[in-house]
Amino acid sequence: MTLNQLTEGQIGHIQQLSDTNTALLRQCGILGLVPGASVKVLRRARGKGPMQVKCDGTLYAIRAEEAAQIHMVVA
Amino acid sequence: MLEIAIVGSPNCGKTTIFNRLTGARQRTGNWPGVTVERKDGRLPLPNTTGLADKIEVRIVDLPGIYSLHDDIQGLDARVAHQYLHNDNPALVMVVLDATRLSRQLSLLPSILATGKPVLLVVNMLDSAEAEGIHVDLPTLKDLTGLPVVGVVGSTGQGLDVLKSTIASLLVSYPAARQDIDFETLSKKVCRETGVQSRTEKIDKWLLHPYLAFPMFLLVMYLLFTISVNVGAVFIDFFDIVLGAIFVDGVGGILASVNTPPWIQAVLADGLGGGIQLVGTFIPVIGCLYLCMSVLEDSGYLSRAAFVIDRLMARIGLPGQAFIPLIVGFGCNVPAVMASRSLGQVSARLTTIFIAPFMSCGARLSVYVFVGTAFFPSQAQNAIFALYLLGIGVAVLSAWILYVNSYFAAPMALTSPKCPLTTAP
Repeated sequence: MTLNQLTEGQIGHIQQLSDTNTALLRQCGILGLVPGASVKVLRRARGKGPMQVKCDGTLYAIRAEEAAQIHMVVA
Repeated sequence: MLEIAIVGSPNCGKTTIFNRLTGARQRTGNWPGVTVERKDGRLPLPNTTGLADKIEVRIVDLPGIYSLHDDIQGLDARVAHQYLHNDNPALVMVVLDATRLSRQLSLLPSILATGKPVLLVVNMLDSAEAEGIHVDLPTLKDLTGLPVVGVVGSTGQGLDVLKSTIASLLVSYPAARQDIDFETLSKKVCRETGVQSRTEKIDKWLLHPYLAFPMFLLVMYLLFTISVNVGAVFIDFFDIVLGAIFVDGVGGILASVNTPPWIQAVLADGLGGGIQLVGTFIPVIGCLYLCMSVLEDSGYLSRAAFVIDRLMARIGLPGQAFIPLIVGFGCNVPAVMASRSLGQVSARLTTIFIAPFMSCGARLSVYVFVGTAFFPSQAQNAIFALYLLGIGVAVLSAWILYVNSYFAAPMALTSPKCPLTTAP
């Protein structure tokens, strides 16, 4: 399951990030979106828009296509 | 003079604390070789040591960074990295936003690695309480072994403690702990109080699936309406004052010393008239930037980036690229400078490329001239059409760059095929 498949209000833990996109990998690493981190989906824009997630008290916006490269485990 | 550096992530209130500490005793410039603004200022310290009569230190405000690596944050991070490694600050103040403490602390290991003495300044303690977060400062101090000061930059609370702490740290700095456990640090320091976050309540409306976009258009409409109308009040003032000084004043002085009329025409009517005309752009552009900075401080700009991201994605740009483009309506130069915050090189170059198509404030007077000369009955519609044309050309250019991935593959540009190795 990937982050973009989570519904609003759902909480999951990051399992792994796709390693093909090194820029995403590094940016997520700096922002704290690392394996093991707990992520809650707050809201999703309509259609193909981005989603807002909360991790460690901080709000992030991430595009669905990038969220698709983050693999999640739903508790 | 001793130097103290202020580091922290963007929007952690670094500059507010800097302004509070230095007051009017500051100057701005550029970091060598890059278009990143350098700010430093002087801070007189309270005499707590009894050693000198009055100590004064120089405070350097480093650009806001999330990390010291420059591949994500570009020039800002490189400037901060080089400063911390090459210059020799007597103290590094790490400003942390209490509302996002856990994330902010991730900057700390790389700063501690530089071996410079570090002072932790936890800012926005009042906002943290409003967001339902309690920050335990004594625990933070115990676990890191670093000096910690809690402040509220917006009200100035805790600033006196901060000054006296700086003064005493410059005299003697405690030995730092080597065994800081960053993994569990934030969990032990921050505690959620269970109050529903203020931000989340507001976001429910600002990022509403259906209302967000109309609300974005309304905010943009208000931004331009307010800046144009408020700015217009001051246009006459600039027009009359600058006209009196540079056109009539200069012309009068030149006439009184019997200079030839053509020199009077060049200096007073030509140069002076030019300064007068450019001066009339100042109020509207100034008001636009004032309104932009209010919006930025309120946090709305990043919400707007979220709302408009889907449209920007179609031309290959991230949502936050719209900020430099809006700035471009005021003046294109700061628009190009604002695009430096975009991480991806392709997005940065595309934004720089299309920003000049945004009709800046100075172009408005040309549009008014053209509009009234050629379309006397429809001048306002003609001017509006020119604005739309500019936006259209910008969008079209970005789209062309995107589909041809002109900027998107920097690797292909830097590593061309070497003919020697591929030749049969």
